[in-house]
Amino acid sequence: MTNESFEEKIANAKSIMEKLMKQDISLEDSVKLYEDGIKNIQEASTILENAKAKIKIIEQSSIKDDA
Amino acid sequence: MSSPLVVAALQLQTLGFNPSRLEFYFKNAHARGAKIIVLGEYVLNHFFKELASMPKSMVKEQSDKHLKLLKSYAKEYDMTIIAPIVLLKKDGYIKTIAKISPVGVNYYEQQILIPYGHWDEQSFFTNTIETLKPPMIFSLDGFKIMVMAGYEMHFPPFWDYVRSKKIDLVILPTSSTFGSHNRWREIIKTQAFLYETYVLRVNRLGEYNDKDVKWRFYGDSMLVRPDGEVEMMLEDKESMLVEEIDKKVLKHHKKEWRFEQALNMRKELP
Repeated sequence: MTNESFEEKIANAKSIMEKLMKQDISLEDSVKLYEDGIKNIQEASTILENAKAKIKIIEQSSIKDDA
Repeated sequence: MSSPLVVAALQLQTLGFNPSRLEFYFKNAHARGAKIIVLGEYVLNHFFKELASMPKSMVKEQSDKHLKLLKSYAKEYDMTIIAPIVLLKKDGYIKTIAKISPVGVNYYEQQILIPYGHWDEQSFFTNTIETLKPPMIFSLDGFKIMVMAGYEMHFPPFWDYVRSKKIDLVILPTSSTFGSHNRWREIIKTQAFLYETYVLRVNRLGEYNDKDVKWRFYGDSMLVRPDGEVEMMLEDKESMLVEEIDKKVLKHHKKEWRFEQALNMRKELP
């Protein structure tokens, strides 16, 4: 996975979608773009899941501290 | 007797991921009173030989995206849409024709697929090979309409069904290429005449490069009358045909030639 942020990966995926919508794109290019787009979305999803897991850990530790 | 029915044929190449031009045509067809609009084969999806080089998830996403859009157009423009579409099932791809109406979607799974070495849909798709089933038939504003997949036009059982069910309009989405213009024209005109029906043939545009050979899909979409004459034909450019079909024309042809009546007076061949 590259070091880009969640926002950058979503922006990449959006830009890829715009390119895919072009009428004159070849099938070969569209398949490559589609695969890149899916990769960006999957990586963004992983970043999101990791962030959710971190929040959960912080919440659990703060509950323990309050108890 | 029913009023004439306005039918539309949309002659396009593969849309890929961008279906934006559909809206222009659907709006236009609706403004001209069309109640049904038909797309050619491999317009919503790429040609089957190209599907092999695409991720399955990409093909599925294209089909899902286009279907969603067509469902919204069917409601917005109060039209029935007939569109060949490739579905991804557990075992592989299925070649179907979707009927998308304002109230729902039905699918006709093509029964006889092209089995030739250079064009082998039969091996590529997972459509089952079994006893023939009735084709897709429906009524619209008093007209009986049957959907026939392009290659199935070559087989008499489908035409026998046209006669026995008194079909007024056969919808024929195709992906004809090479130099087959005249053969298709003549077969369609002959079948329309013999089976006393209108035929709306909708052929795709575009190209497929197979190593050194260029497959050019040539359009030639046409509405053929029951008397075997071409009412309207598109050429080889992106365009739309909007025409009326009329019960009076069907009735006149049947009264004049009486093919069905002659058969009904006799027993079938043993």
